[in-house]
Amino acid sequence: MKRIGQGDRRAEEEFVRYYQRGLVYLLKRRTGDPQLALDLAQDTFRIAIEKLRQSPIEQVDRVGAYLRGTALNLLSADRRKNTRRATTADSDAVGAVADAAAGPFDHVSSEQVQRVVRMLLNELPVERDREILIRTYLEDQDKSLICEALGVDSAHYNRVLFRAKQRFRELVVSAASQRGLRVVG
Amino acid sequence: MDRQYIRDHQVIERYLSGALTADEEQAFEEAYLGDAEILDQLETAERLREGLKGADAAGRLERARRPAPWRQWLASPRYAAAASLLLAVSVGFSTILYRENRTLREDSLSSTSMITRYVPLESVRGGNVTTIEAPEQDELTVLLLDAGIVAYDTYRAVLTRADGAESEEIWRRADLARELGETISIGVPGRTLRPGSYEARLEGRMNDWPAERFEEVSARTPLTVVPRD
Repeated sequence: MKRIGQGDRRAEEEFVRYYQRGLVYLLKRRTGDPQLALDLAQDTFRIAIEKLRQSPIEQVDRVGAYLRGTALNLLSADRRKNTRRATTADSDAVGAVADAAAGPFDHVSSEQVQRVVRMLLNELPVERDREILIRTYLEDQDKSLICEALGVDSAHYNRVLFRAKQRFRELVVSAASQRGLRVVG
Repeated sequence: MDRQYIRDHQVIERYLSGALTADEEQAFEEAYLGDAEILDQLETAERLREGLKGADAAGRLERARRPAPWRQWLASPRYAAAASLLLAVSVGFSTILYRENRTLREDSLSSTSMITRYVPLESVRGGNVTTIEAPEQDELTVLLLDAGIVAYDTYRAVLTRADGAESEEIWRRADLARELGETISIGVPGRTLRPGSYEARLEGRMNDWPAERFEEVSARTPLTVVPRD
């Protein structure tokens, strides 16, 4: 943060690279519009860098809160149909947002993901573990209810979910690679 | 909000289903903005969720057969506890109503020459045997039987007298209906209830069942009639 205050452009690039994926994800969820999310993320970073150049944020762990607050304020303004600030960034770092915000799942189709999901379920040897996934993600059931219904403890539940997500990610990356797609992340 | 809290409190899954509180949501979003590992888990969970929903909607998901939700609910300990509580409350309420009605009826009967006695029979297993004095020949004894939880279309009541090892059916009545949703009342002529041991049995049936099919509603209810003083 101090380096940004000293006008270090590389520090600005690192700052944007570090936070952009999370910020774009947050804005995509809020807007449902990938292009608007990218625009708002660019505006957020521009405002944040301007602020950091003038007065660094002392506590690094507050940067996330500052970015989130700024992004949501811009989104509210956009929704009120106020004029958003111009999206012409005065920093090279901000211009890179659109290129690097894609996650590893942005390069696989829904059909591929569904196929991978079926592979994942078939790989799980215990019916109860499949049931944990289905109740959690398909039926949005609460963890305590699932544990009670299936007779498993919290640690087992956490373990199943963690391993399933890890394996799912591996299968998606593998499926994308086999099709010669570029996988980022 | 740290990773331990996120894992232990199912924060990612609750975030995706929109079940976090506003404070939790803010804390979680601030946490994942600068944490690539949490973001990885979040994106993975989101696509896994979408994949499962998509496969299920397309009918491509083999799911184990599970009982219908209402059957799961009926089988749950919560249902048993709720049903027990409801039963206890309804029994208490019925007792109050019964006492009030008896008082009112006694008041009204006092102006007539009819003698009628209401006898609630204990149908709970292990409960005390109800004991009454033998009625007069022209006295009507109304036995109140617990109609149970399941509501049948009609009921049949049978009263048997135990004589040593043998028992003799002394009274039977069909086409009875629930009263107040809780009890079945049967009026037994006084001359029928001589001193001795008796047992009342209540059976229920649905209208679309075969004519002879009845199911026992509750535990058999004993009754002891002792000579008058």
